[in-house]
Amino acid sequence: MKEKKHNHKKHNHENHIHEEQIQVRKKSMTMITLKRLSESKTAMIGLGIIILIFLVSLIGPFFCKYGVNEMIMADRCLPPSAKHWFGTDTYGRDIFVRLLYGGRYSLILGISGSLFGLAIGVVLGLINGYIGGAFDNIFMRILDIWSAIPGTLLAVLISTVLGPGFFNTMVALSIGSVPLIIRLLRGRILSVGHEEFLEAATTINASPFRIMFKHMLPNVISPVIVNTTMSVGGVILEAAALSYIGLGIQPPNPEWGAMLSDAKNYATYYPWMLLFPGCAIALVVLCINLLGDGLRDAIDPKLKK
Amino acid sequence: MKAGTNRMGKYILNRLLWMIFVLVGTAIVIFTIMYFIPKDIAKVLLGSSATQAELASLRERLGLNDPYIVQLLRYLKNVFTKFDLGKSYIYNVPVMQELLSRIPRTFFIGCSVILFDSLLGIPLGLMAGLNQNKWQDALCMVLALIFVSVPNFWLALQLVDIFAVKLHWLPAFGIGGIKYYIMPVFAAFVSGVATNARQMRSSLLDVTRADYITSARAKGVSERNVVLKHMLPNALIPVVTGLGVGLGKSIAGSVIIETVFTIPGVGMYLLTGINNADYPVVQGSIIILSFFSALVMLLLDIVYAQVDPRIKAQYSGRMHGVTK
Amino acid sequence: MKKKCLSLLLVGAMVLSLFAACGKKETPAAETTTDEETETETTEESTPAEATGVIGKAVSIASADPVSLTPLRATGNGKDVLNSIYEYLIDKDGFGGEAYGVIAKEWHWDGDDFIVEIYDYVHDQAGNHITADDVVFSYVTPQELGYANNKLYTYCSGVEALDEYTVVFHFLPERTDYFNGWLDMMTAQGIFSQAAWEASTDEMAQHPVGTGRYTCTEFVDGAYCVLQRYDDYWQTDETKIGRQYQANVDQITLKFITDPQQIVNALKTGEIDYNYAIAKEALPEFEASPDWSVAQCYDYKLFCAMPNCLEGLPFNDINLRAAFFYALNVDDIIAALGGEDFAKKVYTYGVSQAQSYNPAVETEDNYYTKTDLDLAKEYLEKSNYNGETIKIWYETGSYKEQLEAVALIAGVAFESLGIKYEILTKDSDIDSIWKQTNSDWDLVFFNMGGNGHVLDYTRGIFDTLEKEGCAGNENDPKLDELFQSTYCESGKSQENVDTFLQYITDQYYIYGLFQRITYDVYLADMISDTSVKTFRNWIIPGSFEYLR
Repeated sequence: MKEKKHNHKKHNHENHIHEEQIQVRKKSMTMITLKRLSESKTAMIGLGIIILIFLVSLIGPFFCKYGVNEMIMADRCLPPSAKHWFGTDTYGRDIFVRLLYGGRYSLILGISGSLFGLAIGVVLGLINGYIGGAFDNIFMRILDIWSAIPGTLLAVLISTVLGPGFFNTMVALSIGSVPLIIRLLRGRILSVGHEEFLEAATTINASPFRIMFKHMLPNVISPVIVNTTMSVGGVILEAAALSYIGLGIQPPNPEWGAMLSDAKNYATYYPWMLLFPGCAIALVVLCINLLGDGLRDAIDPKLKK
Repeated sequence: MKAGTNRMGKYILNRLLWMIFVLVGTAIVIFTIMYFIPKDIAKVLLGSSATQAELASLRERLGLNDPYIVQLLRYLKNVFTKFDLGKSYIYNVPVMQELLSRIPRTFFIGCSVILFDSLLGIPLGLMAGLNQNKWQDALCMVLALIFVSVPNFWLALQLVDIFAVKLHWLPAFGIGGIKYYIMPVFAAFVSGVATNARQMRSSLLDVTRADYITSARAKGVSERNVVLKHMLPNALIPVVTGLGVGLGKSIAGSVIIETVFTIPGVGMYLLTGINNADYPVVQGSIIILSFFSALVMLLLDIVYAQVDPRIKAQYSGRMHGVTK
Repeated sequence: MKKKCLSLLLVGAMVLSLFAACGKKETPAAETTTDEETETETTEESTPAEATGVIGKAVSIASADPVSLTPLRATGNGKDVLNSIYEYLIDKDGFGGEAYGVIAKEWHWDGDDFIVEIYDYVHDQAGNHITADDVVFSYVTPQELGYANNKLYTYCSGVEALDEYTVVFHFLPERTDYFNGWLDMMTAQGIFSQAAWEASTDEMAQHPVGTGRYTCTEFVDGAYCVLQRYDDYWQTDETKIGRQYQANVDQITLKFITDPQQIVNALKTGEIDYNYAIAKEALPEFEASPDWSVAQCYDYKLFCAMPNCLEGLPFNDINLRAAFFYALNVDDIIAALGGEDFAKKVYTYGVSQAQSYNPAVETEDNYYTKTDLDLAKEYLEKSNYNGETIKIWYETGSYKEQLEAVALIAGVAFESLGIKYEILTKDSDIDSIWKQTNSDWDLVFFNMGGNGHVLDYTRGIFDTLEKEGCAGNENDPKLDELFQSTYCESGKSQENVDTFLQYITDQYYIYGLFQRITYDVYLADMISDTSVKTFRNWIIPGSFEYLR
């Protein structure tokens, strides 16, 4: 210990260089990951389709013949035809344009819900990993309580307290995923070993924040990133469940999950009302899974060898 | 061997004690969240035609004017010493009594779902993972995608249409013997299979690249043994964790399944409670569901603690942290 | 491998144990689930053949779950079950029908006292003789236990037995002239005997004992309920039994099915024989089939829109209210709900089947009979609307579909006027929004029930005796005056009713939109058409005429 301290004082500028080298190494690690990701065909296809869906949902409705909330009573419940590509719903609204428009809500809700949960989970998980000891013990117990309440029920409870609305729904949906993220982080931190970070702390004499975010984070983030990517689809489906109960996104906004829940009673008679939102969600889930798989392959440090 | 079982026993005891703590904590969290829902219980009970005086006296009688801590402690005492979850606001029937008859049905469906999810999901994921990028992999992933995308209520209604209405093989709804549960369980477990399969495949691929696998192969262990003895146990660990999460999802799904099949279980009870703003029902149902969830996860943990010290560390180990 | 087996074994053991528990839990409740395999078959159990000679008739109906069969809770789901088991002192002959005595032989007013004489041969299903003391007990016990269902002390200062078969209700002075006050009181509480109540361990939640024609022999909470005809019914004089208290069938099985598609499936698989309010998409199938009959029914519930006229809110201004009322296109709402076969437009705040409905309103020249966007815009100009966002609310309960349609069409109306709006939903109707006098809402859509008279719909909104005040009452003394002079026994003349309704129409206080048209579906060879079509508004399965 004394020797280390001694070395530390003497070789200050060497440490500075050392830190810069670490910086450079980290940067290229991100680049390597991205490069590897771009090499995976399926992941790129997945990413491409999602970006395409997003762009279409932003711009598409402007080019469509019918308005999003335009009701033509004479055209209620029509099956798909040349006039209405995906048919109409019970209010005579064109399903195609609503599907496009709904993409905004669903995608943004899904992505931001997952990212919000990720942010909270990462911050809490890193703090926990940094402090450790008795704090970790207590924190894991609290986490047990948190994860004992099933995610969707927690979302319902929080939705009831916060009320409807986009931001409130996003918060409600993201809270349930936090415990798993923290557990994954913790597992990684344990397996990588705290000694590495301990060494980093003492040799570089960096502030806690730096240690947490610049040194711990890159090494433990990989399973969490994959998990977050995969959970986007789950968030969209949970939003559907909330709409079923009457919380979540309010009408007349055409969120995919809400469209799915509304079509429930008509499933046997007008199957297209259920089919298209369902396929849209399925497509997004597929692409996200492809992307997530590719990410997992790209990030895996074992592949660096 | 003795030392091992001793440690195991201590671990189980430790976990059981923590379990009680978790249960109490869950009750506290749920009570607190429900406490903040804007509602006037007195008005709910007496109706809107009650006078201010009547409302005030009822509030006094129910102890609604007491501070949060007092109400919380009273609630905890009721739940854990008297097993009294309160009475339904609308029907005035004790919640615990209602739940007792409903719990076996929901838990039966829940456990069957876990069982089928593992029985079907694990082999599927295994097949996909071992044959990465070949046709088996693609097939499994396509199947998984279909399973996870199909909304469970649609599947349920389609099944009823075929097996009940057209073929008359199974009853369309209700409770009774085993045959009433076949379709509900099927509709419920399908999406969980997909998640399990993906998770299995993912963790299997992680494990495949590990050093100890290469060294096992180098040692000359047969491929079959490599898979069964080295890859599978390690790959199953995150899958088991995932089962716990999947249980949570299936509980949420059970609400819809129970409503479609009119199975008077905890899920349907919860939904009617939410729709009627019947807060004791909502509170009681969520607590019971959480207890069940925690219990199952505990059991899964204990089982796998035998296998992997990392799991033990995840839940009971001591992490030293950086600040030493 | 070993560990994997172990884990699966553990899970399997859990499943098996729970299954065993499942099986065990079902049997101790012996009365309810003796043989669940056969629960769905409407077994033709022959009751001892009695006078009516109708042996073995049974019918299965989909119904809402009453949860508890106690007589202390007269509202909520399961009215059909409770009305078959318990009886009132006086009842009405259907929607808008005349009052007639059930347990009461005769009644009269004596100042503020309402005196009721009951039959001296009433007994309940356990054989207990019913006396005036039992009647008093029935009314007072719920109040003592904290239930609010029979509103005894809202209307009366007390109730007591004068002699063995005479009961007196001491009405409060302000309630003696209250519109239908006495009838509300008489139909508020099902009568039961003190002896049976004290013998019951669970407040009669699972094992009810009433005086009615049917007893409940099986009740599995959440699943089904079986009513069996009680052959030792106390009223042996056939002429005195009302239409709704006929018992033409031996056994009624009520199955609680929540999913509308499942109800259709249940009809098709033969698990139920009759259903009311079938899903409209399924209707063509049943209409086309010769095995099924379909009966049309005009639901008495009225869907309406009410603006919040509190001071300081946008709709305080009568011009803005007028603008909205003229812009709202009710025909579009009806089209969205399936057309004129499924919703009927109303022309005043009240339904056409109700008493004192004046058909003349259908030919008036106002927003009820026409949608005039230009006129609406004129009113908008005159108003002082300056860009506030209108908060629209509705509740997502059993009428979500209808209320959502109203909200969306209202949104279209606002858009064509250039008014900003926001749609908000609430998931329960316990603390209804339209009952609140605050500024959280500007416009609310809800449905209002009635009891047979046009004035019934106005009570919850305009009656300051019942609540703090409504949106219109706040700053319109004339409204309150008109209401109080009309809503009483002495003032309910056709003229007064017309004046009052005309006033609220002219002041745009509330907009009656439509009533639902629902369809009952039943087996053609089992129940006769005429019996279903003549008498409606809640299921009285015992009173239908059974063909087999």
